[in-house]
Amino acid sequence: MHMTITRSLMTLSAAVALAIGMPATAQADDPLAVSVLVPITGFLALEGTAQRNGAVMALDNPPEGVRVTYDVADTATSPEVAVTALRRALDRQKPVAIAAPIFGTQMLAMAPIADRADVPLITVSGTAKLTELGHDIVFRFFPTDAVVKVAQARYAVQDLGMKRPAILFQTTAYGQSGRTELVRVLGDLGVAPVLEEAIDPGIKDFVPALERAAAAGADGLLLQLHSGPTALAVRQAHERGFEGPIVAGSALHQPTTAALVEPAALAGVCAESASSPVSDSGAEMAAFAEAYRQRFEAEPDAFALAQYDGMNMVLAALAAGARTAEAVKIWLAGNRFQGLAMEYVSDGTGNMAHDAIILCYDGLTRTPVVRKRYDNVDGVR
Amino acid sequence: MTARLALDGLTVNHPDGVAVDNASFACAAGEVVALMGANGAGKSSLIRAVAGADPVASGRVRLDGEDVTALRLEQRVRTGIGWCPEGRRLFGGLTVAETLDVAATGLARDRSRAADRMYALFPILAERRGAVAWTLSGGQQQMLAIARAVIADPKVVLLDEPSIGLAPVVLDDVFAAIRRLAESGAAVVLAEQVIPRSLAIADRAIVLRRGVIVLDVPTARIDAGVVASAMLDGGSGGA
Amino acid sequence: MIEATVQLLATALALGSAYALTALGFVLIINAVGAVNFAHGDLVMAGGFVAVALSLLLPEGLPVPGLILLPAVLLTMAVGGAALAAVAYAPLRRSPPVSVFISTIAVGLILQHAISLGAGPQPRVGPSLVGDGLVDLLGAALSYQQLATIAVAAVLCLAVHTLLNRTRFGRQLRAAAQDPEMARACGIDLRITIGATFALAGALAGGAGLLLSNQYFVTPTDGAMFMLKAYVATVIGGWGRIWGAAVAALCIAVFEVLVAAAVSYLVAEMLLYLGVLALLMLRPQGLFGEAEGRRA
Repeated sequence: MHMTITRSLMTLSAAVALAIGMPATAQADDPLAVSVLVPITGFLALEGTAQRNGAVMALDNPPEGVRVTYDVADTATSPEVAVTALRRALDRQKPVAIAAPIFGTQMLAMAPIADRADVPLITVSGTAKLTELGHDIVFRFFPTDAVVKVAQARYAVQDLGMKRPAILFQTTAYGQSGRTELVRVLGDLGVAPVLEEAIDPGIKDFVPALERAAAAGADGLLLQLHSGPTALAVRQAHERGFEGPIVAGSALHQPTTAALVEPAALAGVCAESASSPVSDSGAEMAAFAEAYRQRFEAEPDAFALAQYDGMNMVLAALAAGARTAEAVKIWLAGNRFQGLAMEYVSDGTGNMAHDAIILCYDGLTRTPVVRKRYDNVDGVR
Repeated sequence: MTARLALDGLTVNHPDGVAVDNASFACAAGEVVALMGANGAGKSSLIRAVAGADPVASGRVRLDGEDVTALRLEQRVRTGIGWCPEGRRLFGGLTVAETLDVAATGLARDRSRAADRMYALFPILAERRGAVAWTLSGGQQQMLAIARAVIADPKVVLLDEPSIGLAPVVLDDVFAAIRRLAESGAAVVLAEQVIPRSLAIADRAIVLRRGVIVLDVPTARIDAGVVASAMLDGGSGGA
Repeated sequence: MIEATVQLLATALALGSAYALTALGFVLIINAVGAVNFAHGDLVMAGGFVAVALSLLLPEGLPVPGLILLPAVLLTMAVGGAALAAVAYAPLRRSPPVSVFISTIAVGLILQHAISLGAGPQPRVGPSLVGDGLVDLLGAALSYQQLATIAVAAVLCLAVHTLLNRTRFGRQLRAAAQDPEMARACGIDLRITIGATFALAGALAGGAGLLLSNQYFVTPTDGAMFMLKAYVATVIGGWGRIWGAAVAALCIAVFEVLVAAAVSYLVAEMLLYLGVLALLMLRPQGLFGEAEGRRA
């Protein structure tokens, strides 16, 4: 017994000496860890893969003097898997920042855990609630509905002269919250929609909706649909000879969505987005798009670019001297960052992006042109 | 001379016990063997085992001397066994002609000729060849079930209680047809509960009681009374 | 008004005829083995992706790519159906039907994820059956594509009908479905009939996938929706009635489209399922009556 206590004390003092000694031996230029937790499989695989690609492109090119390592894990489709991935990452990699899934439901599950660990989540999810829950670790690099829907509605009414729009929105959370915002903004502009039709994601036949829009005397369409349904709606509207402009949600900016529709059917169709990397927007953007194409053999979209910008802002924080998760978080919350798509700054709750664009297709190619920029829509910048 | 059909120590198990216990008998070509017994005595189990629908625990089934015990049902029938099961079990949605076509073998021409033979053997089917099976009367259905079992010209015909639910007038036709089968050279095993008619057309009578063969004699030597008491003797005859 | 209705009916029939092919294959399997094939919707989706993949091999500008590829898609998916039987059904022959639910659900998921990983998760366009073009009918503009879809589906249904009713093999399939043991007693090898039924169902699903892939795109996650349509059509048409299910699938499509055009999609969906519930309560054997068979 006596021997055991002595040995325990010795072990303890050795451990203390080691612990004290540890920080001293850790070099100031040891690489820091970043985790990339995004849906690579499942129904958001397209967007999640774009996130992964954008994050990886940034993390592979850190600024001078910054060294990072990163791990990628799949969050698939359920909150449980996302939480497991998060816990595992916090445990093993001890990251200073995490690229987090676009999927709102998963983010809501991950946020409290990241909050307790005080590790910032860098996401492109549009779910409004994320920044309303009082966690200070969520940093959203894609503009929320409060920004993009304003752009969509304003362009439709002020630039295209829509007075009697029909809104086709998805029954999912994405569709519902977008529709609410659209109706609100339209109201501010003095316009009331003549039709608001909820569309289940499984519906492939838009002719009934188009018939009802025509019967209601609609002079234009506002779409808040996911990728496939957007393409179907645009195509079928064209086939039915729907006269009147169409302004779609950000799904239509994605090259994979445009690929589903013949260029002729896209003539005059516009979409809102945070950015459009494939459109001609300057040398830097073109270089990004080309590098992306070379590396991933796919076209980049706004989600990839937003994640790229977000991770670059994290790298900027590291370059400025942040070495812990908390320090990164504080830096992100308090600084401006000029990314490729736009300038990012927090509105106090973690919404970093406040600009939107409207892009339109000319009917000849599948590459849209940026028609209008809506800067600082919510007045934060 | 090798018997057409020979059972050698056939034992068939059942979840509740032994269904057929060490049964042995032979049936010659052109012979009708009446297999009789009360409900649950094991007649159907024995017939099913001979056909190959159920596995045997031990024993052998031989067809013209060849051991067919290892063959599955669909293989065994192709060696020359025709099985007309208890309850007829026709293909309800198929017509008479379709049923015969499915059961016949060979090319279209051969099958057509075989069907014509059946129509000659069972004229009543000829009149209703386009009728869907479930619309036929009881007697017609039984004829069709027998025709389906014999159209491929089997060497052994197994009939399991063909008389159930049939009116006496119809029974005459059915049993006459069964006798004709034997006369054309098949070995016929007829499992039945109606004793008098069976004895009338059979050459030999076998009585099963609780899975065991208790009587195996030429029909000339016995009468219905002997058979009945053999079926029931020794306590309740059913399981 | 007339032209709108004609327009709606045309779209409904085009969609519905593809659903009818799906339901047809689905019920054939139910009849043959008494178990529900939960991978059936994913077979339709896979057929669409096979069409997409094969269309990438064709030279550009070919006039009727979809029609040219149809036989290849049917054949590929027939093999796929037989493979499904070998993997998800054959090992579980002697187990209760619920095991086959689970094994087919598993195969469906594997198929979905494999295609998502291989081809990517985004929607794809399949080859068009015929060229673009419109024909005028009572003032409505019907596309050649829609009419071709209806025609091809009708031809496939006719082919199935001929197979089942005018060929010996078809009669054997029907006999094996009605009483497997007695079919064996007629010398029929059930492994062949069951394998052939799965192959046929796979081919029909593949055909449906091809027909839908151009007008309506195909996404790896589409399987569940096709599955649901087939199942509901089977319940409405009468469990085990192959032509009842096919007709019911057509009716479902027409009903949904007409109600959606008159009121809304949500109401159409609600009314459809309320109708199914009412049918189950008042006439559980379905509109055309239950055929002989085991309900799974």
